Amino acid sequence: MAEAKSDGVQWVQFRLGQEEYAVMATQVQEIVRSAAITLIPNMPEFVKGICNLRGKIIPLLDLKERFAVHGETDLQQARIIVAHVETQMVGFTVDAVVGVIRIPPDSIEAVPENLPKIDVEYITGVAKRSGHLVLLLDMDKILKNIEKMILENAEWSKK
Amino acid sequence: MDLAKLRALFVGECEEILGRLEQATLSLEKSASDENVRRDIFQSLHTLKGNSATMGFDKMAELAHHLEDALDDVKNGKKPFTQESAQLLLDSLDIFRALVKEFQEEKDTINIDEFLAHLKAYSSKETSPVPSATSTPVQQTRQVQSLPEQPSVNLESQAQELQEQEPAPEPLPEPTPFSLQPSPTQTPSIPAAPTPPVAEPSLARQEASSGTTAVLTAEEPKQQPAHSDTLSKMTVRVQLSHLDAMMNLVGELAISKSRLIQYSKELGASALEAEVKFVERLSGQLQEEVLQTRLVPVDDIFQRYGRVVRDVSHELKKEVNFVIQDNGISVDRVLFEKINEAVVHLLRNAIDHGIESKEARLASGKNPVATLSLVARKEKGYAVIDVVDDGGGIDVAKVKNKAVSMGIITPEAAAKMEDQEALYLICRPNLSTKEEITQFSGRGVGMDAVQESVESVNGHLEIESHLGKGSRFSLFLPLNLAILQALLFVVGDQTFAIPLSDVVELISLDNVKPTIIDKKEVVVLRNEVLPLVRLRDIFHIKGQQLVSNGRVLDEHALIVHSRKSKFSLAVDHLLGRQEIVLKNLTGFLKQLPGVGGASILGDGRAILILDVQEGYL
Repeated sequence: MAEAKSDGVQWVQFRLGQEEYAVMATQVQEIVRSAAITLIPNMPEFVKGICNLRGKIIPLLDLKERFAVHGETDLQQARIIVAHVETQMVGFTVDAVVGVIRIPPDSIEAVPENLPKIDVEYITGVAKRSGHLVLLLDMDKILKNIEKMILENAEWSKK
Repeated sequence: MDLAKLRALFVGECEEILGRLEQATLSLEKSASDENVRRDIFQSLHTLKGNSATMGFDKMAELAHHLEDALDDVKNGKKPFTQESAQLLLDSLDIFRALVKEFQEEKDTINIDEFLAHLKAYSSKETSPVPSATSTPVQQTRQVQSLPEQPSVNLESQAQELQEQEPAPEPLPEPTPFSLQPSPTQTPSIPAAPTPPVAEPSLARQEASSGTTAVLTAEEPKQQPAHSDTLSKMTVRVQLSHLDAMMNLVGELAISKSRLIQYSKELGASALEAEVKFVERLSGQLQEEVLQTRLVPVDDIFQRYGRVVRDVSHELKKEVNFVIQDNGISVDRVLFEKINEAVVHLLRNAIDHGIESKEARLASGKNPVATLSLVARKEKGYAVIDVVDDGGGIDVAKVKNKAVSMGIITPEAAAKMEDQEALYLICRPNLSTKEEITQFSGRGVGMDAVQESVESVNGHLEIESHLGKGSRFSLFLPLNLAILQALLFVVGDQTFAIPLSDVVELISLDNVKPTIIDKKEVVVLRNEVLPLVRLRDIFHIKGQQLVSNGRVLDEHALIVHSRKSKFSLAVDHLLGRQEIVLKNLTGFLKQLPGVGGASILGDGRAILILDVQEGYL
């Protein structure tokens, strides 16, 4: 992070299919390559399962599935972004981690109207990086949104 | 060190000192001549005074100071240590505790002036060990008003107790050993041999009821003065989260180690293999040590119940000899905190319901002084806590009648029910055989709550009772909360674990063919119809079953029991019994129905642990 000239907070930039996203580095605990996944019964498709992170059991959520992004996943590049959200640890699977970037506040734009596919509530803004758009996500809100979806849609919670 | 840490340290120390003071007081009340205990009391009191003055907590320092004054003659040996002195100390301890709580919550609501006046009045009194039966209770009641947060029951009971005190208490007779016929599942004899009550020299390890820290014990340095044998073992307070983190890391180490072993075998380098073996041994020992740090000697915890037994038996005017036998057992601290209430309830129950009045005991030729034992022992991989009384026992006929009248069972079922089975009816909600409700039991927290709390830690309750002779309630607890005896099995491509304590029996579905009754799949086992639950279906598990010639191979069913029902659970094949480390799930995973937690296998894979108790499966 020797980009001394740039200011702004650090973001972890990653890819889902051809789309670029970033989350605040402060919400990211670490990035791991892969993990043996254990399925969890009766969960929506975007809940991939649980895995063992050095003795801790964390859930793995598939952002690609959640955002309905298409495109092949290159297993060599795929990563798990382990986020620390409130008191919870959650792993998000992504197609590739591009790197850690600094985004100056003045280059963050408001969320465009009529964004397809994803709800606007957990997108904090959009940044332009070398020609393409990077959607800035709030992990905390994504997780809340996902939890809400699980509880509302799960077969068992209707009983 | 910042102030918050300092305050937390102070609170922790206070709790420890107060716990020690209470035990010392109770033991001195029994044998007033014990010089060491007496010295320990005043030393603790002095430390308390010094600490609170240092913290600028004047109220507490003042209370400690006045208490020292009030008991000065006792300290110097000019006056004997009487029941009255003990009561004064215990009353003060209650206030100290309230003050500590107040300090912790950073409030200033407690007014101790009344009590200080009471202390002053006490110290200015001429040598008169007989409490004035009229004045003391009045002061006690006023004290209740000044302590809004203190449960009033306690203080009132003490006020009443002061009235009934006699100047010279009778020496307690030797406890009469008491025996029950052993049942097939129990050890041949009940270890109820009398042991010296309460005054074990391990009070320094005593910890007050905070429950969020565990205790590490270390050997006492040799140069420690000899008289402080009640402070014998050095302890370090550790945040439980650190211990949990250590547990996690050690578990990971074990997994990494098994991979190392595999690689070194593949390489075939003997020097490497030898070193890896050494690492294996070290990591095994490390794991053992880390597990040990979570354990506390049962003896330390048992000490706290002396006060409950004393208060309740005084209140109910029953003479009880409380015998503690710890048999050197240690248990997981967190686990014990979870069943603490259950133990308190069993002790209260035993004194209130079990033990008869003095008159009734004399009439039936029993020792008027009842014996109540709290015993820890090991059996079948469990730490067992027994609460044994030599009271009247449970009247099974009465229990059955009550259950029938409350519509819990039918008269026919009651007639057929074995006595041993009928005992467990008392664990049904709302069933209490004592007609009147007293303040000590029958207040909604019943035996059902006791059973629930012990089952919540994967343990179970066993009851044994003989009319006229007494009862024994045994809490079977897993030796370690984090470690679970489990049965591992496979369904499709998934591995699961189930607590062994939930499994009654294993059957092969080749031998016992499932049948359809009322459109539901069931198995009929010894004339019992049990619903068959297929995990594959309700969990929508993919992956093939092993099939040969159109026949499913190696299919088994686990007969499991929950509080609510008994059913069979179809699984593909069994992997066997294994000790697993219980990991709690977080966030939305906590709400997963039918799943109670997760664990990590030797190869690093996570697996789910089933929970049959909640009734989803």
